[in-house]
Amino acid sequence: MKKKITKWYMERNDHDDVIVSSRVRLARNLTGYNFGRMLSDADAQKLVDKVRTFRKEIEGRENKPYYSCDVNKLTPAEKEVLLESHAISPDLYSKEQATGLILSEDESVSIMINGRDHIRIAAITVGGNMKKIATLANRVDDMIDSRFEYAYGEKYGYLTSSLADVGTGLKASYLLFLPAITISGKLAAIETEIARFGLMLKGVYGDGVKSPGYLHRVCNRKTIGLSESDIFESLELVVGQITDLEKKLRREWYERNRAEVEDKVFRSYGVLKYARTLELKDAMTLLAQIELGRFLGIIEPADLSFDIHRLMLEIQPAMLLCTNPGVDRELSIDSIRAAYIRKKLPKIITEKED
Amino acid sequence: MICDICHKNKATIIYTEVINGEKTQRCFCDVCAAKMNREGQGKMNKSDVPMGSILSGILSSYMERYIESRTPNEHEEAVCPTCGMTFSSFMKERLLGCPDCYGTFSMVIERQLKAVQPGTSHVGKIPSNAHVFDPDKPGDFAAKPKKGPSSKGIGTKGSAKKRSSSVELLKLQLQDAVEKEDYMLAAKLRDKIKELENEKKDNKVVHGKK
Repeated sequence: MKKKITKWYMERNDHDDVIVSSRVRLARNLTGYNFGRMLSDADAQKLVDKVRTFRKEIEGRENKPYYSCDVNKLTPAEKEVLLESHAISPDLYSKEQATGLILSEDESVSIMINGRDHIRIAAITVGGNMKKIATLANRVDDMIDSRFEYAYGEKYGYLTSSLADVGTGLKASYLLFLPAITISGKLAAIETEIARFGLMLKGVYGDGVKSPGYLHRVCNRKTIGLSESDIFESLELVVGQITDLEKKLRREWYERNRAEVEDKVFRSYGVLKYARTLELKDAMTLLAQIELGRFLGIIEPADLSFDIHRLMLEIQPAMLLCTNPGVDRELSIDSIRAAYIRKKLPKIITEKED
Repeated sequence: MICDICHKNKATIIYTEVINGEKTQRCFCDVCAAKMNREGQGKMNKSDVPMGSILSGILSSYMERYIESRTPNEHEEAVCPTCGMTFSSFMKERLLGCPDCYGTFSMVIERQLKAVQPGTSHVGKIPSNAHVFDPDKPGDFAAKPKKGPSSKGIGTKGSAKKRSSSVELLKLQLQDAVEKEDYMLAAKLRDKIKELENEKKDNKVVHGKK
C-alpha cells in the first residue's frame, strides 16, 4: 500500500558542501480575525477550517498532491516527526488551540495555520537554491492572497503578531554546515560581522558553538524597511562569503594537521560503524566529521547517493521511531539509533594513503 | 502669586511662554524650581539660578510629565477597541492582538520597531488588491502596484493620516531631543507639533460644519 515518496531532503541534485538547505517563510494574517494571542477558540477553529479549504485549490493549481490536517488533533509522536522534519514550527507544535497544516507531498511546501500568525507559508529545499523556493513561496502567497484578504497597512506592510516579523513577513534562511569555522573559533566573529548586514546566526539543534553537527542557520533579522529582494541579496552575499571561508579553513586545517584530521575522520567512521549505543549529539558530531572527511577527499562513500544531512534528520528521536515502526520497543533510543546508522552507513571505497 | 507645583509657597519665578501668539504663564517657588532642576539636570545651586538651566529644567520636567501622560498612563489604560489587548500585556509579551493594535499602540510600536528593526516603514511586496500579478514573473516579489493599497488595517486615510503620522514622528524627535538635552530643538519641535495639531483641529471643525 505504502507508496515510496521522495521528500525534499532526499533530493541529491542540489547538494552543496556547505549549504545544507534553504528556507523561505512568509508570515501573513487575515483581516477579520484577531491575532493568535487574542484569538478565541471558536474563531481559531473557523480560521483553520476556512484556510484548510485552500488545500484543494493549491493541489489543482500546482498539480501536485497536498495533504492537510488539524495539527492539534495529531498524537505527540506525529507532531514531533513534523517538527523534526521542519514541516511545522515549535509554535504550532505546542499550541493547544485549533491549528492546521497544508503540506505538499514532498514536504517542501508547508502552510501552517494559526501558529504565531494566522498563516505561515514555508518553502524549503536542499542546497542553496534560494531563488527556486522564493519563487515557490511567492506563488503560494499570491494564491492565498487571491482567496483571502490579508491584514496590511500602508506604513507597516504585512501586519503580524510580533514586531519582529512585520513589514515583509519574510524570514529567509540558509542552513549551513560549518565545522571548520566552528572549530577554528571564528563563529563569534562572524556573528558580529553579519549583524551589520541585518542578519543573524542561530544554532539549529542547540545554541552557538554547541550546536551539534556544526549546523547553523543564517537568516535575516530585519523584516521592515527593506524589500524582499534586498533581504535575499544581502543574505546571498554574506552566505557566499561564509561558504568560501569555510572551505578555505577546511583545507588549511587539513594541511596543517594532516594526521590529526585523518585520525578524527577514520575514528568517527569506526565508532559509527561499530558502536552499539549512540546519543544524538555524539552521532551528529561523528557524522559531521565523516562529512568533512568526504569533502577533503580522505574517504569516499561507496554509495554516492549517501547523504549525511539526510541521515542527521533521520536519527532525530521521533523520526527514528517513525521510520522503524517494527523496532523492539524495549531497546533504548540510543541503541535503535546506533543500529540504524550501522545499517545506513555505506562502505568506504577510497582510503587515501600518503 | 502661589507656586503652581506645591500650591503653598510664594512664586518667585514666573515662566511665560508665547506660542503662536498664545500666552501661557507658569509660576514656581524657588524650592520647586530647584527641585525640578535637580531632577532634570543633576546639580543646581539654589541661590544661583542661571536662566538656561532653569529653562531646560522646566522643559525637561514638562517633557517628562508629557511623556508619562502620553505613554504609560494613556497606553496603560489604552485597550485596543477591536481585540481588547491591553497596553501592559502588549509590553509584557511583545505580541499584538489584531491588525488594529498597530493603530492603538502606534506611539510605542514606532519606538519598539526602532529597537528591533532598522526602518519602520514597509517597502516590499504589496498584497493583491494593490498589485498586478505578472504570470511571466511569478517569483518577482517586486510586482508593481496597480493602485495604492486600501487603507484597511490601521489609521485613517490620505492626507489626514500623513499629517497624524508626521505629528507622531515629531513627537518622537522631540523625545529624542529632550533625552539629548537639546532644548532649543525641543522647543522648536514642540511648537511645530502644536501648530500641526491645531491645524488638524481646524480641519475637523471645517469638516464638521459640512
